Amino acid sequence: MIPRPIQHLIGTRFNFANAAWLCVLSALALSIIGLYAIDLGASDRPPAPDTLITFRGTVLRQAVFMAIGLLAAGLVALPHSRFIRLLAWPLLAVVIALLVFLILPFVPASIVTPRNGARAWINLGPIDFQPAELAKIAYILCLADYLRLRENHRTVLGLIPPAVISAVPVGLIMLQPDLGTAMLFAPVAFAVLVAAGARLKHLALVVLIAILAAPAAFPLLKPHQKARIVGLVRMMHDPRQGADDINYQSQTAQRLAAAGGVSGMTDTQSRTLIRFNRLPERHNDMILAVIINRFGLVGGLVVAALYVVWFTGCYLSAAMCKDGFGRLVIIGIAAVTAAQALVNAGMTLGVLPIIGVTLPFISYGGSSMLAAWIMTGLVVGIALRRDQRFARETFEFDEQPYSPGRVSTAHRGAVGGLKGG
Amino acid sequence: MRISRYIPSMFQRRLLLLAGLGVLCTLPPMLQMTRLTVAKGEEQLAEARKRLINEQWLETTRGRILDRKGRVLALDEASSDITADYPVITGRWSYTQAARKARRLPGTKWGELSPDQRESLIQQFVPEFDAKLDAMWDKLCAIAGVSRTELDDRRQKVRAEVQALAATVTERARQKLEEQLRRGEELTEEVKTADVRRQIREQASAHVLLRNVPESVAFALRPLTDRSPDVATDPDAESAPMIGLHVVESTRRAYPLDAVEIDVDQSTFPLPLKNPRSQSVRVEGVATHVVGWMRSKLQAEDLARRPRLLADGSVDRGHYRPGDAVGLGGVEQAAEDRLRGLRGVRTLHRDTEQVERLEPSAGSDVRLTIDSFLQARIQALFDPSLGLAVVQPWHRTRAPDPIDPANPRPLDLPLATPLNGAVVVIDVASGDILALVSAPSFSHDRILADPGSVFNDSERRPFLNRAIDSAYPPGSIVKPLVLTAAVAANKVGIDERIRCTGHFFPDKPLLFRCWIYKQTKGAMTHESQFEEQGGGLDGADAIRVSCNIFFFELGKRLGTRGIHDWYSRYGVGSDAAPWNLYQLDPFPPRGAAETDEQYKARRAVEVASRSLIHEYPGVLPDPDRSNIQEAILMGIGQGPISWTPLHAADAYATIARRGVRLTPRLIRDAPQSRADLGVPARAIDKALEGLRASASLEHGTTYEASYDMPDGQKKRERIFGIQADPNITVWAKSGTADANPFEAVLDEAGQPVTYDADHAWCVFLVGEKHQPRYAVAVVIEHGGSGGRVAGPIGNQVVHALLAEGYLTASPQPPGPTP
Repeated sequence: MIPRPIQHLIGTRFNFANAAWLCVLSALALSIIGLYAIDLGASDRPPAPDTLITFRGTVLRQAVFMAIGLLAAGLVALPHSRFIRLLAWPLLAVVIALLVFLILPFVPASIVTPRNGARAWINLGPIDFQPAELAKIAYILCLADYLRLRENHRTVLGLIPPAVISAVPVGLIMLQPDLGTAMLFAPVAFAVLVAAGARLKHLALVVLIAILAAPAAFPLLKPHQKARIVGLVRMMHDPRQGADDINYQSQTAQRLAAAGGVSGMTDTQSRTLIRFNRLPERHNDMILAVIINRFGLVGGLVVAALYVVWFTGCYLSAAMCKDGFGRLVIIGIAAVTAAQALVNAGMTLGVLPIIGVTLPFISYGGSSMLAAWIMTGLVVGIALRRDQRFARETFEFDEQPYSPGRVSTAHRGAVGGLKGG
Repeated sequence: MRISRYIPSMFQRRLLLLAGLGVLCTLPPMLQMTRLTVAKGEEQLAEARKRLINEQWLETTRGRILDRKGRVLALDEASSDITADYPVITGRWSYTQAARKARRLPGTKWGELSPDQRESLIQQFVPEFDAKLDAMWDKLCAIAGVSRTELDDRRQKVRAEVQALAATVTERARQKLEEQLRRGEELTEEVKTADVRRQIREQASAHVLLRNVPESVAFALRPLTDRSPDVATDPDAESAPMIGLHVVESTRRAYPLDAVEIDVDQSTFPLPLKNPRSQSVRVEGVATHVVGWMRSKLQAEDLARRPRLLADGSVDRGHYRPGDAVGLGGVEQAAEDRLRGLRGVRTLHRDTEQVERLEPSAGSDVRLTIDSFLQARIQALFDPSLGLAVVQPWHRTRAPDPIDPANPRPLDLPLATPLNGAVVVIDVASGDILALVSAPSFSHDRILADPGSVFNDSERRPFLNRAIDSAYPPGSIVKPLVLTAAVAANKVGIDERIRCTGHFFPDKPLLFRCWIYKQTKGAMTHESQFEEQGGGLDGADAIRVSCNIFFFELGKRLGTRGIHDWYSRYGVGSDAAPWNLYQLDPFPPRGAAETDEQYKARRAVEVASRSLIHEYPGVLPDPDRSNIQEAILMGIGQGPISWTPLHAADAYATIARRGVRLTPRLIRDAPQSRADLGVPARAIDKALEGLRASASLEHGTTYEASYDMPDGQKKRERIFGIQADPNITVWAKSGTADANPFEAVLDEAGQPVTYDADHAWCVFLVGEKHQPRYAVAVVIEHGGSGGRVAGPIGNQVVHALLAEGYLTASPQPPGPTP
């Protein structure tokens, strides 16, 4: 018999046949593809003919991260979401402290080593830790907790508190500066607010203002950020523009991706091409180009399909869940992961400027891998729990509230006279 | 239709909305992925595969230029340059070495030192490495035999060049970035130089300090230098005795006959210059005009003329790359494509590490018709120290006019002014050009050492090849041609006699005068010289004494069309194949859609690009716009007509071939065209008789000259003294062609003064007994009298032909000239 405190912690009503397992399956498949792709790009010379993958160097480290990620996913899936909820705000406080620590000017370079000009990593001996990844999770949890029982976000003023919750981590991350990660918070906020029932016209107005204000923000960018945007525009005019300087990375990624053709090429061919085309960040931000190079359009579509499976898992889990916190957490997680995957694919394939955003589960990197798996674990944890008996549907703000009990009888009868919103 | 009817839950609807938005967002990357892989797959695969191959060019050798006897005039020679790494040249190397030593210093914790402490520690060690470098430079100077100042100057120069280059590159990068950022948006901050400053390749690579060092120096240095190019960053660099120094093997265009010593026998010189001793003359630049030289700077035209890609898309292995030298002037330019070889290619397949080699093919040799020793002998005659080609008192055609201060008349050139000129020697039988001399000449060394003295001297214009690219009015030397033309055109009977009346139009005694009438101020005509023949002169007589009236009459009878026709048959004004000499392609004909202006413009560009190998076609007026006065003047080679010394020699060679014109050639295997002009044999005989008489009979214009001796006396002497040898025959004609007055600065005063002096011509055939074998044209620019100035030089050309074995003297030595 399970002891009471533990029962209390993990809950008693389970729903083992849930859609979140789809997420786990696809995440496993994506992670393994990632390991292989990292090996493809990392090898200095072709491996022995019959080995598919060599566990050494970055590949080995990524495999370890994956194992840690799985473990972490299991850990976060274990407690009931109400305990996770309790941890949300303390976690955000810790994350904000870490983000502030990162940008403190007197922190020695041995602890915070700037990479590509950004102070985004904390050196933890064998591995580097990127607090921004954790910040995404903490942010989603807090936002979900804040909105789960509320109704005032359906007013304009009610949108201010969520905006404030967003602004703190976003601002700190932009100071690193890591524009890419900071920008991922916007789709999360948008998706969570949409799901939480905020009025669409308010949100549309906010999006419109943001779009109109974007050009005004251009001068505030750093020169290298401007140059990347300008480079993209130039590349759209003429694909050969800037091939040797600003667009080198993008051009090389596109070249390698295109070279994969429809069905890709052999392992050895792909390794050779990738090695001698010197694609920068090929194990990391640009890993999608490696995969398409090896497996062609088919490979790209398989990766896309695996992500679709992952999102389907999230979608179904959110749809099944009645608990407001659970719903919003899953939506937030799906949104951030989707945004990350889309931005990464867009910049690798040359439709977005290059901003350092990783491809979830696939790109090399401990923090990124860990975060992706923790998010998967959260989804699984929420989907695992049955709702409380007689739980009320959340975020139903229709004028004639929807109630499942009435679907068959009362609703049908009332339709004629009501103009439901 | 309300969606809420089908999905009653608002949350589910919102979920669906989000999913829909998500799907929408996947569209652009999906489409792009499909576009890239499907539409661009093959193209980009090929592009990506290119990165697997590393191609290196293997340099080729440029072909040699040889003279007719196989003597090498130009060749690629192995040479050794001494180069040094840039950090070593600047001395920065000392600092980096000192910093390394400081960091490794036992007992200090480098990581804990402040920047200031580090710097002071480094500075402690800098002098030590400075001293090392200093010692190395001294050693290099000792081995290479250059002074330390010279070496330091060179280092400073390299440094200045690289710094200037780096500044330009940085500024360009800065502007480029600024431009990029400014496009579309107002730039809020200026891009700073520091943001874009990068090390340029030149700041890491080695630079030439000493070029073309002797092999002994290279041999001594080779074991001391490290061959690896990045020695300055090599940790073991200290162990190399010569730090960052390299001996680089390269090739250099060499001109072995650039300067030669010639012994000139002065015993056959004109009386005032005669000297029993021979004098040694150093000839600088034998046939430089003909051979041409090299320029090391590529121009856009080169890349356009020979682009990297051929029409079928393959790479032309002979395309120009930075650092390539290009032929400039003469055969080096004209035969550029033939001399220039094809590079080899070393292809490294980086994936398999296989290496393929396509060996370079060397350029072809070009064999000239020039005899370089004959050329050198003739060039030597122009040396001012010999006195043949400087203004002498006896050169003058008339007494200097008194200068009227209000209206000064043009002056004769001051005495001892060096004279410019040209000599062309053509082998009659083959049309080969044996010598093509243009004075002043210049050596290849001078082009490198002092290009200004060659290309910027607008007074003497040494760069001009006067033998083929300078226009001179022909003057009296055309008289034999006019005679053959008039006989062939049936305008004059072969023995017809025409009276020398002194002036051509009976009522105009001041116009169209005979030269003798003009010189004697109306006292004499040629009639007095031919009284015993019963009055009048026939063609041979007229050539002998160069009677103007006779040839005015012929010009009048031939008329504008007739004289134009015959001059063009002899090649004047003809641009039918102006490039034949150098075997250049003729101009592409006018395109169907091209207007006159476009064609002219294209041609002008082409002419400019060929300027240094340009052959002047000569001027001949359009017969439709010409008048009879011009035709009369052209009968004596004046008026609107001009040609080059090559034209003159070619026309005389045509007479010697009895009316057969053979295009002259400079390159041995150049194609030639042969054309019979249709001159009757008796006309040729008459002309040759006149030329023979001119050089060997009393009153002949190339028979005798009178010289002012140093003692004040005047003495007469045979111009072609060589004819004392019974084996040698000369058929000669002098010409004193009216030239336009010109401005020049010739004295120390530095003021430009207007001078007026005629061009002196002497054109002749020379051979053994009755067979003319060589046609020679001599022109001395503004020299004055053809007979007295150009004649003696012509005589010396015959001596040169003898000395080089082109003519054989009779067994007994020639007696003293009568």
